[in-house]
Order: sequence, then C-alpha cells, then structure tokens
Amino acid sequence: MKRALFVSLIFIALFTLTTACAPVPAPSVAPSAMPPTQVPAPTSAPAATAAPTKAAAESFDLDALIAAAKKEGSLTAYMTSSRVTNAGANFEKAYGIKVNGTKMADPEQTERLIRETDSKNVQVDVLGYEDGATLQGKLIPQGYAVSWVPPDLANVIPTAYQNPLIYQLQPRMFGYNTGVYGDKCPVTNVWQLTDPKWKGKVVVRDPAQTPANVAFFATLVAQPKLLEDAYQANYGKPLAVKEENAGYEFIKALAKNGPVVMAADGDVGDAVGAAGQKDPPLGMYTLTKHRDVKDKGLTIATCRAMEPFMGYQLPTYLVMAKNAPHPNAAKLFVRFLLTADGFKPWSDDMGGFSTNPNVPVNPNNEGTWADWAKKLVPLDTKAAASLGQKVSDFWLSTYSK
Amino acid sequence: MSVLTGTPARVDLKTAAQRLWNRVLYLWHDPTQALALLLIVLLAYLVLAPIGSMVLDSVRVQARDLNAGAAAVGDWTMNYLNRTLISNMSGILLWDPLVRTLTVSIAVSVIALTLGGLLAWLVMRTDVLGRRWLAAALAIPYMLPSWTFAVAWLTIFKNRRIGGLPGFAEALGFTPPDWLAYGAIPIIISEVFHYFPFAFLLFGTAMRSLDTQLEESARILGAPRWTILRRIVAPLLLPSLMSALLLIFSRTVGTFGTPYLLGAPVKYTVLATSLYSNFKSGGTGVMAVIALVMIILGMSMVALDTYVVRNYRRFVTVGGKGALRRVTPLGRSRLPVSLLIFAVFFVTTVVPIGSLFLSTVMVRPGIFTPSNFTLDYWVNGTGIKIFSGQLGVLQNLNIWGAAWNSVRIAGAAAIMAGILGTFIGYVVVRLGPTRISAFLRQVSFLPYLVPGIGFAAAYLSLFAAARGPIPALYGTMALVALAMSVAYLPNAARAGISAMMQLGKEPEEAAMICGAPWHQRMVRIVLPIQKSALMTGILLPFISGMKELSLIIMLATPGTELLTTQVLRYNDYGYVQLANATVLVIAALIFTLTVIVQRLTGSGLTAGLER
Repeated sequence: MKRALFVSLIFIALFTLTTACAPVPAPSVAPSAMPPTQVPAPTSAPAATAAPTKAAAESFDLDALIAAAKKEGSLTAYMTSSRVTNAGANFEKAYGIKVNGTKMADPEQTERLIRETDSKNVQVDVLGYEDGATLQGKLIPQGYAVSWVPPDLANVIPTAYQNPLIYQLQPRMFGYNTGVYGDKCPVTNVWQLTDPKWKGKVVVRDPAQTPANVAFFATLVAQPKLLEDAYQANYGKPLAVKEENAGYEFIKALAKNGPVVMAADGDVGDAVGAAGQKDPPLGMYTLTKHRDVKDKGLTIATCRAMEPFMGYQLPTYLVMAKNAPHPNAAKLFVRFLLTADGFKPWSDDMGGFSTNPNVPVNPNNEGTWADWAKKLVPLDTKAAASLGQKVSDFWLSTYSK
Repeated sequence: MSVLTGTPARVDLKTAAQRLWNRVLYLWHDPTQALALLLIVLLAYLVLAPIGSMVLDSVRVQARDLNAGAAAVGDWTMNYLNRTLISNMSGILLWDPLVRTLTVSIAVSVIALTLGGLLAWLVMRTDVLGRRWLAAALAIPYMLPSWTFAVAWLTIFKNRRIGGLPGFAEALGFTPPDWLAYGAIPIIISEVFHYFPFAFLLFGTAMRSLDTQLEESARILGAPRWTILRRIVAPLLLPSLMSALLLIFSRTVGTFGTPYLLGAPVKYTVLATSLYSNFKSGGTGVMAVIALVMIILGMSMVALDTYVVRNYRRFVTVGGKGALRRVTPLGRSRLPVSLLIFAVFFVTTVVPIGSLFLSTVMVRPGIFTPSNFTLDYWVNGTGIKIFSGQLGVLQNLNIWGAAWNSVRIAGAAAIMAGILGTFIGYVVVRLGPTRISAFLRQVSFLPYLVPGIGFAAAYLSLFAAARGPIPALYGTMALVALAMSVAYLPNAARAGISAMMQLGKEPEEAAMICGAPWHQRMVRIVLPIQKSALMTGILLPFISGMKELSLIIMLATPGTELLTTQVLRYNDYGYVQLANATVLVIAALIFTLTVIVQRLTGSGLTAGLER
C-alpha cells in the first residue's frame, strides 16, 4: 500500500514538475518599432549637439497623451536610482497619476522584465536601466523593451542619446585625495596607474559585478589606438604589444598592479577621500559621491588633468516594457523625466546631467556636460555586447593570478 | 475488480463501499497518510519545481546570454556546463571558490557547533550566573544581519590595503597584517559569531527535553562519566547535533555579504561570490550551474545526516510523565566560566551593535569630538535638518509603515512555515522509516540549499502566470510571504522533526483509546506538548524573514516599502547613518517581538533555558 502510494506520488510530483517547467516560448522577435540600433561612434566624445529628426515631423498631441495617461491611472517603474520614489511623487502631484516606483539594480530588472514578458503578465511600464550592452544586445532586439522619444523633445535631446533613449549621464571618473596630494592629481596619464608606485593603490568597482566597467574595458579594446598613443606620450616609446592589442595590454597591466575592487561607488569614494589618510589610493567612482565632501568630510577631487581620459560616460537609459500595461502613462512619465520638473530629484543632488540641455545643471557639477564629455570615454555598447565576456574573462584571469 | 474476482456485483459493491467507508473512518482517525499526500504535492510544486527550473536553466540558452550567437533562447546547450566545469575559466568560476567555500564552511560548522554546544550546556545544565538572561542574550547575534559583524571587523582590523578611514587597531599604532584583516580567518570568525546561536538554540531545546534521570540511573549503575556521555547523552543529542550542523553548514555555503566584504580585498572568492558575480554580469546559465553545485554540496550533508541518524534508534525523551532536570554546580570555576560567557556575549553582540550604533550618532565617522556627536539621525524634531530635510528614523512615518509591512509579511510567512513544519515533523515521524518520510524530510530541507536569487527568480516564473488551479500570484505580497515561508521552511521542518522524534506515541495512543478524533489529539495533545518546538519553528523563519532582501527585490509589489528596502534606499542616497539606524530598528523589532512571543506563550526560542 505504502509503496503504491509512494509510486503514484512520484508520478504526481514529476507531472507537476514537467508542467511547471514546460518550455517557455521565446518572445517573438517582432519587428521593432524603432530604427536599427545605432551606437554613438566611440570617438573622443562629440560635444552633443541638437539635430532635427524625422520624429519631430510627426504630429504629437501632448494633451491627448495626458488624457489617455490619466485614464490608465497609474504606472510601475523600476529604476536603478532610489530617486524614482521622489520623481514618482512629483509626477503624481503634477498629473494625479500614481507611480509605483522601486529602486532596482540592472540584473533584477532584467530578470523581472524577461520573466514577466515570457509569462505574459507584464507589470512594469518604465525601466531606468544602466546596462547598455544587455539593453541593446538583448532586451530591445528580442522584443522585451522599446525605446520611445517624446516627439516634441526629439529636436531638443541630442540624437546621440535617443537610440535608445538616455535620460541621464554621469561621469564615472578617477579622483584623488586632496588632503595628501594637494590641488593636483598625482596621475596625469592613465598608464601611470599601472606603475609600481600605484601597486595596490587603485580602487575600482568590481568589474565582475559592474557591467559598465566591463563595457569600459570593451570600449578600450575596441579602440586600441587611444591607449597606444597615450603610452607613447607617457613613456616616450611605443608600447610593445604582446596581447591582442593595446587595450588588452592596458587591462593586463592594470590587473597585474593589484587594484582593490569594491562593491559600490560610495565605498570607492570613501576609500579615496577619507580625511587624514597617510597613503590614500586613487579610485574611479561616480561624481555623485562628491556630495559627501560636506556630509562625510571627504577631501577629494577629480583627476581633471588625466590623459587621454579620466573615466567614462555612464548613461542611464529610460525605456518602456514592450507590452507595458500602462503605455500612455509610461510615455508621459518618460517625457516628465526629461523635463526640469521631472529631473529635479537628480538635479537637486550633484553628479548627474539630464540629456535635455534645457534642464538646469546642479551648480556643484563642475561645469556642463559638454565640458565633462571631452574628458570621458563614451561607452561602446556594441563592443560591450560582443566582447564583454571575452574581456571580462581576460580581466578575471589576469587579476586572479 | 468484480470481473477479476467473479463475485456477484451487488455483494461486491457493498463490500467495496464498506471498505471505502472503513478507509474513510481510518483516515479520519489517523489522517497521517492523507496528510503525507498533501505535503508531497505541496513540496513538489513549491520546492522541487523551482529547483527543476534551475536544472533546466543550466542546460538551456538563457535570455540574458549575450554570447548565445544564433542559438535561440531555450535551445539545449552544454556551454554553461562546459564553461563552469571544464573550460580554462572553470578554476576561477568554480573550483578555487569551491575549495575556499569548503574550507570556510567546514571550519565555521565545527567551531560554531563546539561553541554553541558548550554554551548551551553551560547555560542549560550548570549554575553559571545570569542563566535566564544569557539564554535570551546569546540568540541576539542571529537577529542582526550577517554582514554587521564583517563591518565591525573591518572597523577594527582594516589596514591601508583598502584605504579610507584608519581602523581602530591602526589608530592605536598596531597595523594588522593582511591575513588578520581580510580573507579566510576573519570570514570564519565573523560567520561563527553569527551562526553559533543556531547550535546554541537547537542544543538548548534538546537538552531541555533530556531527562537527567537517565544519566543518574546510569551513574547509579556505575557507568563512568565518559560512558554516560557516549552511550546516553550523545545519542540523545545526535539529531539536534546533525540539525545544527546542517543548518550552519548550508547557511555558510550560501552567505554572500561577509565573504565579499572581507574576501574581496585579497581576492578570496567563494562560491556565493562567484554566483552573485555571474548574476550581476548576465551569466545566468553559469549561475545556475554554480547554484546546483551548492545544492549538491548541501545534499551531501543531508545524506550524511540521514545516514548518521538512521544508525541510531530514535530516542523518545518526552514521555507522558514528567522529566527531571538537575543542574551541575560549577563550584570554584563558576565565576571565571560566567565571565567567559559574558565575554562571548560582549564580542558577538555588544561590539557589532555598539559599532553600528556609534555610526548613527556621529556626523562624520572616526572623529571623536563632542561636536561631532548628535542624535539627529534618530530624532531631529523640527529643528536641524539632516541630509536635505530627512527626518530622524524614529520620527519618520515611512519607517514605521515599512516596519509594519515587514512584520506583517515576515509574520505571515513564519506562521505558514511553522504550521507546515510541524505537520511535516508529525508525518515524518509517524510514518517511521519509509521512503515517503525520507522524501518529506529531505525535500523540506532543500530550500535551505538554494541560493536566494535563483530561488526568487524561479518563483517569479512559476507564479507569474496561472497554472492549473494555482493563480498568478505575482505582483501580490502574498507571493512574497509564500516564497519566504518556503525559503525558511527548513528551520521549521527541522524543529518539527527533531521535537516530534522525541515525542513518544503513547500520549496520542492514550487519547485515541479514549476516542479523541485526530484533530482533537493534534490540538489538545501534540501541539501543546510541541508548543516550544512550534514557536522555534515560527520564530526562526520570522527572524530570517525580517532580514530578507533578495526575495523581496525580485518578488515584491513595486512601491511597497519594507525595512530592508528602506536600508537599501538610504545606502543608495549615501545616508549611512540613517541606513544603520534602520538596521538597528530591524534588530530591535526582532528582539522585542521574540521576547513578547516568549512571554505570551511561555515558550519560544529559548523556552527550555528559562526554567
């Protein structure tokens, strides 16, 4: 009796299992509403200029959008920034549409979006997302997400930031401790980071857990000339390339110099800038952390003089779920975040730049985005998507040795 | 059946009906088997299905895989297995971390068991000072998030390798070497200090039900001390020992925060770190393989447990009659031993809580001038504003709302887990050594071995669409509670099984003879006797649930704030003081509610120890 019971139960269990795990049909790769993906050319940061696009020609009725959005009543947003809560509250004040906003890192957003879409139970409308490689390599081409630019802003937002739409740009750059090194960054060329003098004295966010840092490496590998020239400029002799190219040489030299990896920009900022240190490291972190100069008493400044770049441009994309349950509210929220009112939670605090040049810049941001862009490498998401794993494996194997 | 036996149909129908009726009557009086069936179906869906989906993830092209090339999502692939197990990256991804994980987990298990067991014996069976108080206090380290001790360690022992503010040791002129500041040794110590309460609580509960008369009889019969320990005490405590070993070992295998904080500066990667990195960087296929390795690692522990416990007969220690518990006087060593225990309390509780608290009353860390101290982060009235207008944690209504959400969800999950765990314990023990009972016992433990992120992702897929009679729960807080109750079911099931193992059948049989139906026997006899185990089975999941984050991030309804998500938000804004104050609020809530439950029910985590 017990045996029979047991056997039948196993069958039930197996049955449940197989049905529960039945293959989920891959999302149909529907022809995207957007034109084919274009990655801004990874040249030394074009000072983004406004250019007219065909989208502007379309008629756009903002009032109709507002009315349709109000009918939908609410929307759900996942964003990498906690400020989604404040932005959502401001949006509700302006339009009476409730925003269920949650701070969520990229990987969780990705998992939720993919699994929601595959199960045909999409709950998210808007995503504020940083991992450009996954977005352009997977989520948009495979029909999970779409990028939408408000037609009335298509002439305002520089085209380089429209496909997919970027709403915020941040510098992630090298900084140093002013308490020890005074008003001049002790490093003037990126290759100096690989010198014995800085062995174990460079702090970065863990590339194994930071897709943007891998994208940065991939970008360097995709344009080796930049580092070749920088080597020549620094040491006065050409770089002996043993690896595939100068990009890999740089990654290897950096990895071998034993940088310390950390989980968050805040940790890096504290490591670099804490006052009263004897032998402080250099570090790469987002400019936002400079707000801690006041709150935490950090003695910290950016390595402005570093050649040929002092870091990279970290974009935050703003896209919609392909099957968003509240498409109009989502569009209105996207548009809102591109305006001064919508961006306020970010511009109130230093470190971020709206891609809309008409949105006021925080006075502590050390200049305009155009100033910054000259010193920051734009991430090459295409290279990141195709070379990401190779570059990340290369980093891991040289770093772990 | 009638065709086969050839008897007239009318008579057969009658006997069949009679048989069926007998069966129903039997099930009514002893529904153990019906209950078993129900539990198996439940566990198959809630535990085996998510693990099954992970197995599939490891051999099928993942949607996030940027290297899939032309392969379509869901196609069969060996790439992830190859990459993780045999490629030239396998050493970095799996094998080196595996060796380190084993080192850490085995060391932590052995040390935590010894420490917890010793403390349980001292507090439970000897006359150390402040027993009652210690019984509650020594459980506190488990109520703190596991990374708090790692943070405290860094505050004290960090050196120049990671820059930033000087550590205390450095400030006092002693620069700790790397091996003391980072890597295996601090990881092991931090985790021992976090997980020893498991051993303490489980041994404590078992010792409570241990009748000292057994030992005394042996002593009267002339058995030497060592023999008593080996032949009587050890076998009786063995199930608890194995439970504690399993819980501690599996938890350390899955712990991410501590090994990352203390290991990253010296490249000490463990499996949990590797798993998390792969999740972050889109390697979900590799992540599934690593998760399976972790599950297999835990399952080998489960097998060991099954093997060891099978070789011992079950020992019924809770009889129908009263038991006697005597206390061993420590004599002259009473004071020094007591002081030693208080030292353990100081190091594992006062130091981490103290350093956290200190960080919430200082404007800038590490500057010990009076003007740098403030209570603004707790209560700032309407006067001075901190962090562009943030309210002190205690005044912030959002925090209280989040606290209420946390308590509600963790509470609901814990009660579900506790009830389910008690039933599992009942069925497992009542069915005796059958395969059904082995199945229930082992499957109910599996969630413990599954890394949180993977488990949550699988739940998302399982419940995002309606499947048969199961509604699409995704998007409701009920799913969070359900996932949490399953994730922490192992605690409850373990408590249920080990308590039930010690409960003889006699009390229930006596009631059966008196004609008490099953539900009455359950409510009036089994549950009251097992109240303390049931409470442990509810409180442990509650404590874990209050600290849970990864399940919540993956499954919670957007816009619902919980305490842990609030911590995340504060940290994101750089409001470290407010984040740490919120962590202390979580710990305080857990502690207060635990004490209240214990007072109200006269039982709970440390009930046995308080007599």
